[in-house]
Amino acid sequence: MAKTILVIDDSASLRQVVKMALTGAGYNVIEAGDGQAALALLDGRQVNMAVCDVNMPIMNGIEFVKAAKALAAYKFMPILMLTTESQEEKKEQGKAAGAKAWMVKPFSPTQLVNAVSKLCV
Amino acid sequence: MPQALDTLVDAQAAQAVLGLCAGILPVWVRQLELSRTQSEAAVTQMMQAFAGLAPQLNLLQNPAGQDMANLVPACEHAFAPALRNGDLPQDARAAIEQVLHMLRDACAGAPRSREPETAAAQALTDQIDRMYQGFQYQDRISQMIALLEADMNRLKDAIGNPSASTPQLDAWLSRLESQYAMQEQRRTHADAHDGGPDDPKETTFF
Repeated sequence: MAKTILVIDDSASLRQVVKMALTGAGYNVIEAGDGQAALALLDGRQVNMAVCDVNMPIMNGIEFVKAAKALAAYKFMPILMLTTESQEEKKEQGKAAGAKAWMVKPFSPTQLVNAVSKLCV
Repeated sequence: MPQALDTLVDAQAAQAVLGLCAGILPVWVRQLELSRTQSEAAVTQMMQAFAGLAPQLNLLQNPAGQDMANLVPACEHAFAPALRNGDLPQDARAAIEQVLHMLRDACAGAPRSREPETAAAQALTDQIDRMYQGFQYQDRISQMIALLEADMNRLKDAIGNPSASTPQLDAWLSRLESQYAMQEQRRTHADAHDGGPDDPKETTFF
């Protein structure tokens, strides 16, 4: 059975790019436009991993990671931050919140699929 | 001219400039927002066309059972809505046309030996990889514009509130700079055209 990846980004075009790369590698993809919508989408659903932007309206990526990690069902769900942010202090915030990896856009499909397959075991 | 009159003229001139800015800034913001949303819609549409193309590309990469004669028209059909879009960025249009050109070349000689076919498929894969990365620049541009929109709105609010203290330029620019996500924004802010670090390409695992 294909694994399900939750993709969270406020850019519809970017979600489409990520979705294409991951569905091409055999993953199911569900999408949300911000952290709050992503939390609503989780709602007990079987999700193997999340790929999450940082700068988003309503609830940003770091806040989403903290909120997801506070939920027992998703405490161990790996989260990859996929963002234009490249500063070390931002990465440290992501790490402290509980993210498992940090990738800076633009990414190549191979780079993304490799990271997801490494984290989504 | 008496000093009091000088002061009055200066104040009137300053007020006129403030009125000018208060009128212009919302228009700039709306125009920026329009260009941001239109380019986002164009790229999203292009990505959807690209998604429809993927099964056809698999045919090229896996010659068993392929129907080469149908490949080019199917791809042209998939990209047609995006190419008809007048808002499609020129770079994106050129990238699509290059892919279609490569497909036509790759399919023109079929059936043929596997070796050139494999090379063509690899070239196509590489080109598609570049397109994936090219599409993502919409996201970067959108973020840059959104930040400028927010800063213009902030300036408009500051101008529209004469009772508040006058914002200081250094503090304003420092605040703006602190909100940048990308290295090129920082370089541009500093008017530094001669390099500096690029954003890292590798993945950091924690």
